[in-house]
Amino acid sequence: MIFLRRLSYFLLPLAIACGPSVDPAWLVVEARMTGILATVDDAGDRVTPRPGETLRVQLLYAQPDGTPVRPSWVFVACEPATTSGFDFCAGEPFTFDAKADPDEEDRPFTVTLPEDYTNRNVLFLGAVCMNGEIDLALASDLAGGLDPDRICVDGVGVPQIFTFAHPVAIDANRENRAPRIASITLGGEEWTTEPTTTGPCVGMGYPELAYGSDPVEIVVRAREDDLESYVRLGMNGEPETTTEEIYVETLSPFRRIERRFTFITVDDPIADLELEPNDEDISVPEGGLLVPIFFVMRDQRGGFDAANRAVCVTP
Amino acid sequence: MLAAVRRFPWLSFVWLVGTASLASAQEAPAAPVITPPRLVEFVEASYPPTAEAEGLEGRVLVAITIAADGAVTDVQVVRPAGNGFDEAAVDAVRRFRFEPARRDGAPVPVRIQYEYVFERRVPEPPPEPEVPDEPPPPAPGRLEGRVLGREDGAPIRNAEVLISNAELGVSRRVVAGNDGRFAADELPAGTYTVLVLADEYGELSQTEEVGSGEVTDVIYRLEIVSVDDGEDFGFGAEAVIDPPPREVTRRTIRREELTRIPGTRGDALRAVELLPGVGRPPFGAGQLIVRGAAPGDSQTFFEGVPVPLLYHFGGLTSVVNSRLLEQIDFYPGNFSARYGRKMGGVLEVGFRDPLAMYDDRGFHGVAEISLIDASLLAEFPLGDNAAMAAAVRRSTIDGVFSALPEDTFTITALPVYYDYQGFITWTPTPRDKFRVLMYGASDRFGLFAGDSLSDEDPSIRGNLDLLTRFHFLDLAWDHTFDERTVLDVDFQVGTSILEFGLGDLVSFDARFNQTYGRAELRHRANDRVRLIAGLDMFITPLTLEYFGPLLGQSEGGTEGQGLGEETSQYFRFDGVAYRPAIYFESDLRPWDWVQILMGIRVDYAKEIQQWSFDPRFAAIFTVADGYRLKMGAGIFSQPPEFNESAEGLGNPNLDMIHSAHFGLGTDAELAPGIRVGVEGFYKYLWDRVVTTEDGVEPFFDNAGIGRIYGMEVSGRVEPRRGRKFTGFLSYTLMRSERRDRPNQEWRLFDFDQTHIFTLSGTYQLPRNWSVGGTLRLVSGNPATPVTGGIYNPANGTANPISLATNSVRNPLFNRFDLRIEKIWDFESWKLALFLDIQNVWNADNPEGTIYNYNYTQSVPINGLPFIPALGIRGEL
Repeated sequence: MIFLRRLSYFLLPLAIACGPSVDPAWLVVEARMTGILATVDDAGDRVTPRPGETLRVQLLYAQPDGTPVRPSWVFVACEPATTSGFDFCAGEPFTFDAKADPDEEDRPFTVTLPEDYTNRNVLFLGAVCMNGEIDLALASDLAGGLDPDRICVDGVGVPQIFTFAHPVAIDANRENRAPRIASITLGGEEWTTEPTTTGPCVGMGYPELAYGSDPVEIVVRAREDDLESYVRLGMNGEPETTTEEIYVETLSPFRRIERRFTFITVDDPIADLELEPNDEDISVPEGGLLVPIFFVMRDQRGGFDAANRAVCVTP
Repeated sequence: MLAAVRRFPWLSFVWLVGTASLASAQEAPAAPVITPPRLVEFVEASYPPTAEAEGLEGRVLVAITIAADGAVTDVQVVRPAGNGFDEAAVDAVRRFRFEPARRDGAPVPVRIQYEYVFERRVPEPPPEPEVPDEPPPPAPGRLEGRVLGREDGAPIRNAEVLISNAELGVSRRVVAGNDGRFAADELPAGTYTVLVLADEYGELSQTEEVGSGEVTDVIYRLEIVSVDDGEDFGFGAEAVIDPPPREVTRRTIRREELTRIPGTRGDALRAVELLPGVGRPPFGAGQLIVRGAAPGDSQTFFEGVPVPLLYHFGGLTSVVNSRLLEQIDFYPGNFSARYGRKMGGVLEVGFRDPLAMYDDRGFHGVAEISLIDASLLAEFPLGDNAAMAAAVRRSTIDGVFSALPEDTFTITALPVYYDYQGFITWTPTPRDKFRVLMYGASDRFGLFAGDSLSDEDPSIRGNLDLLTRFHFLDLAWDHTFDERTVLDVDFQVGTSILEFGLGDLVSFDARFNQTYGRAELRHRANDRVRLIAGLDMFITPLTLEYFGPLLGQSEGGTEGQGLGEETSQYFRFDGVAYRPAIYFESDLRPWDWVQILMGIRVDYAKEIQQWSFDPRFAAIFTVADGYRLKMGAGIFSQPPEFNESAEGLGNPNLDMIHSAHFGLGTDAELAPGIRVGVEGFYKYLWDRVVTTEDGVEPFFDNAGIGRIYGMEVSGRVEPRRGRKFTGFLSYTLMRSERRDRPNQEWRLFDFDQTHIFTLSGTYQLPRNWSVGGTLRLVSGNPATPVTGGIYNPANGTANPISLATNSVRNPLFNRFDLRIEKIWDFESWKLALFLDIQNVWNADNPEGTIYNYNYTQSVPINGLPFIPALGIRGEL
């Protein structure tokens, strides 16, 4: 069963603890997608569109030096089919959009739901070439058999195929506000510095951590009223009222992250983790190494927020 | 029930003196003085078990060639009796000892005829010899003493002491007791030959003088020449008489071997994985993969009743104490109509009778502890006609977990398993045997994690619970109406529970209140026709409750729905699964060298309202003594899994799954207990349950087909008295393929293993040491290559982009296991220390691949490493 494969993510690391391993999931080694930001026109903080409304979806990215990624992409939006397998469109897509030039300023893709839309979700399928030009013809063939290596023209850039379902507010219960990152602290101090520069960073206002120094605690807080109540299908098949659980994904290209996903719940209202020393022995330049840390907040009901911070690791 | 044998004097004899000849009538020389041979040592044959169980008797007339030294050099059956009597008689007669025939005082070879009688009554005492008109004989004497081991001076229990004097016509057999003491009274004064026989100690021959009215006290010290663990093999003769086969292929692992095979940690059910045709599950998981069939296509039975689970925690150890088992019969295909509802293989686990492995009816027990679990076993009599055995076991690995630092998670239930078995056998009459069997097992593990335990999937958090538990009560009655008709009735009730939960995203709860009944009537119409009729019924009120993503096919399936509230659905099924079946079989032997089995089985599955009609055929030809040619063909049907046919979660309009088996092979017994065999097989599967196109409703259909073909080679050296080495070899060459939809190509089965080679052996060393090893070489399992991932930015996870299913293969699996055991034999108890090491050379044996979060990196997942298991066992 699929969930047993997911469970293996927990068990199998125990088996390979003594052998070779892959890069940890929190490690940013190249440009990568990190999440989305969804907004609904004229709906304030609400992120789940009603039928007939317009939804704008901005893809989020990260790369090791913290500079903006230059993406080109294609995507379609459609009604999802009911399946036990991969998501696919129940009928013809009702939106197609593309951004072919990576140097053009990035923009969200836009979909307007039909007035008579009744599905609980809208499905997005797409492909992106980060820091490269997307091959529109190949990338448009999203119906199986797609080879990620062919997405970027001449193989320049980092390709990624994506798919996700976004909830639709077909009733009041599915209306949802996005959470917001209210504050981030590092070692107990408010942490606001973003990665706006590259190169040497010592004395430039970034929090400074000596290479190999002790772990430092990061705490991410949401707004007090971000944990919304809603009704969901309970495990006994009956509707039940529950409270959202928000999780924060933390990514880093250098300093080790204790765990990638940390939860904010009613019982545990903060996301806390440690920024730990690296495992490998790496030489840090005299002027310091600027390390961006990427945060993505999700409420698991279509609400997102994101923030980037930076520290300066000194020799 | 013991049966006696009587001996009859020879009916005629002929001497074979080639050089002598009768003189012509004209010469009329003096007639030679002929003295016939005289039996000085009679050997009691083992009553054939099947004949004994069916109350059969027989008389076997044999011709015996006796050499000039009195040894038996040849035995030929003149008038057979069948039913195993011939072989048993020949075996016993070969060990007779005679005072040779004499011609004019010189020993000469002769041939005589002898009738060996097997009958079910106490033998009549021989007629009192005529007392000659002579002076009264002198007062008899007594010979007594002890039989001890030479090395340690310990008494040798159950040593046989044969005391004979040919001139006096005395031949006596006594058995030493637990303290090694023996005694023979009423021995006429004279010189006796004493032969001492004691299992692994070989034999000792001495000459003793017994005086009139005197006691001769002796001590015999024997050296160890071969070792076993002191268990009685149960067969005094070397000929092991198997019950008449009802299948083309049956592979049996007997009690003597069950707990000794290296690499199995003494677990009998693990030994099955080493048999021909059995695939290797990854990571040693407890899956039975038989001739390329999915694990769910095969079934394990305890005394003819299906069991839901075979191993704790998916493969750690089996759910039954191996020391309670008599034997394990494994049918890789073409099995009898007695078994149904499965189309792969059948594993039949048989419990031995309590106290069956002991010579006395006192209390006996075994205590064992290792790093993984601890167990107790006890057996004792309940009066003269009943006995009981009980065993319990509990894991000890939870002690390791309790020592782990609970940083990112909290253990809410330590990984604990336990199992128990208890049974009573009662034979109130010679025709009835009752058995009450209770058994059960439980596995439990739970933890809680506030944050995700995985960096790949945020949904792996919350409560993680696993519970499997079952309890069964089984009542069996075997009744023998007469020597031709036997009835077996079996009835079982019980419950089984399977619970699994992952946070608030997945929950699976299945509860079965199982009732199973079977009645089988076997009638032997005559020596050549046997008829069998049976009825079995499986009734299970069950409740299935599931919350989670939609499920696809389990074998050959690709990644599907992820975890999340949006993909979770709720399903509940309350109902009764009702699966009756009837079967008929005929066992025909038109000639002595051919056996033809024809059967038909009819099944019904209420949940899908489907019938199946499964004809089965087998033929076995005995082409020469010990050589057989066998063939078989049959249809085997199996209902879908409950979750595949339950409305809402699956498709209630599914059909039964079917397969056709074909087999052709030969086997031979090269020498007593040394067997080899070769067998080819082909299986075709149709109406396999597969996921619908794109996984849409009704989610499953019967569009799948499959084909499996191959060859098995096997060789065995079975335990025998005095044999130091036992072992087996198995090799399977096989291909197992599936096609899931008409528009798809054939692909390899998930566990297709082209080559499966196993070589295992155990050697008995002096001083109760034994050492053994098992070598396995197995083709790696197929794998589906991944070229990348499809990322889901909404939750930070990814699904793999897969190429053709099972289009590549893991590297060759190679592993060597070692087992060393030492037994100390004390007067009333034994102590054993064993070391069982898996993967002695720590081969990596990649079992699969693990990927990074977006499937752009991969590393192999290595299999189980070097694992030593040290254990200690005390046996009373």
